[in-house]
Amino acid sequence: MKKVRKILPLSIYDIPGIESWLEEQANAGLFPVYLDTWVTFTHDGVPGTRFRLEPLGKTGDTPTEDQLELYHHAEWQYALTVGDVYYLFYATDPNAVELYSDVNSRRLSLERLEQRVQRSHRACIVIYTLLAAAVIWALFFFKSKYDVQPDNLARLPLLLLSLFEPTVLLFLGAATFQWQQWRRNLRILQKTCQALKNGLIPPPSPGPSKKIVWEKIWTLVLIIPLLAVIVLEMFHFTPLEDIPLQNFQQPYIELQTLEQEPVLPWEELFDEPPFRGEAENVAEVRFSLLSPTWYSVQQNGYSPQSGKQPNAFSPKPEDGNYRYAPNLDMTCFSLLIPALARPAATAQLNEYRSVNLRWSYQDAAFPGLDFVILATNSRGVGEMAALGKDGRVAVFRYAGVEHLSDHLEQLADMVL
Amino acid sequence: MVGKGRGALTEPMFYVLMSFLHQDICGIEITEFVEKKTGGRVRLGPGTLYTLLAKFQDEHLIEETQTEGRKRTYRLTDKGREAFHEELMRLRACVQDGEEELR
Repeated sequence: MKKVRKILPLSIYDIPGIESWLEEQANAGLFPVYLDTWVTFTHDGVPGTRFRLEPLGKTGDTPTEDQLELYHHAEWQYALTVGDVYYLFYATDPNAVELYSDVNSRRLSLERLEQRVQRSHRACIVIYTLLAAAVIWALFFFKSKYDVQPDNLARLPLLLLSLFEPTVLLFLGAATFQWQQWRRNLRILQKTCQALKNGLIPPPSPGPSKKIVWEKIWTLVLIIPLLAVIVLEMFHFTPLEDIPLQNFQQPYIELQTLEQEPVLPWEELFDEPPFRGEAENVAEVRFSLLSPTWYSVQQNGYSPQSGKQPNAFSPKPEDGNYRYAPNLDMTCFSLLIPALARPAATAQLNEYRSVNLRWSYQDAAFPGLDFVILATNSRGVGEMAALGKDGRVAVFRYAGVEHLSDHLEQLADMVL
Repeated sequence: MVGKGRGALTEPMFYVLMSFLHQDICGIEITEFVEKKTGGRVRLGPGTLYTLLAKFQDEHLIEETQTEGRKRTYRLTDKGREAFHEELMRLRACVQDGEEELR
């Protein structure tokens, strides 16, 4: 049978509004078979049908047998259950007595619903507060016992960029619309219950609203791509992560160009996948409205010359015991707000930092660049560099026998 | 209910409790009893009756005695009988006060 679907243009707690809207639809020959954010109708509507919403009982999502019997005896039939909120009853007999003979019993029936909604309201507030507290604690107050140079505020610029990522914006947009609907629904229910408590007739329905329809459309428009992204990630279908470098189009510094001796990727040298099974020479692309270009590249190389120990690798071979194996990680940003360049560079340096080492940072000058920051550590295990020009930033982390400070001209190409 | 901080009974509450005074009774019979007793002045909606039965059960004013298919029968508890009498006395006092003033 052909069905008609419409978005419910009313708050879910606008009881008289929904009832009279359904009655209008019945007058147009439509009968509801599903009701939630949208309503599905069949063409079985009988003009003059009355609809009444009855808060869900203790027994769950269908009315009890004795309730059905009682309502049936009064010429009211059960139509459907609306989420976990109401049963929908209807009567085609114009003489059928109204479901409620007085405001007091109506108040009692809605009291249970109001209490349930308020409980869920409080639970939501507690959960979100705890989540927010946990996130704030993890971001700003958590200190790893291994971190010898903690700086929780250093990551703020990267957090700011992340906040402007499309998935986060979709989530925030959908959450805002949901929050608005939720608050309005709660207000309507509270007003209705308050009027009934005072022995008054509940306030009249504001009627169908285009604003509500558009809010629901926007929520769907935002949620569908968000869910798609989440599902794709669940199935590890992430086309912007682990991109093999041979397929990567953005500019980057090749590890080999820093080295004096030849180094080869693991696969090329040993003709088999890396021993942890993870691709080692890959790129990841991210996108933020504040940084339309944002990507990271990681590279590992291995000398064809083996060490004395066949399966031991080191960026600084000692006495020929290990195979020389340098690595280079880099992250590039193209920021729309140039003032964010240095903070973003510092934040990325902090991300790249090995936490159990004490790092010292030094500014250097290079013609044409706004800043150059070089970072070294006391044990000489790896080094880092950040270069910036206007909104363009490139941050490098290198472990090998070379020094980034000797290759600034080459690194500067990434931002000039 | 009266005298225990729970306020007076509403008219439908009063008549529903009244319907249990002489017999165990089911929902449909309550509706018929109230309509007949009041000469059609009070017509209980099914929502009102169902809500009141649930409330009275929660407050132990009535209790279920048997379930036969879709039909559930209830009876008045001692607490329910006491609540009805208290309300009756309150109404009598109201009527008496009114009549005194009219004289």
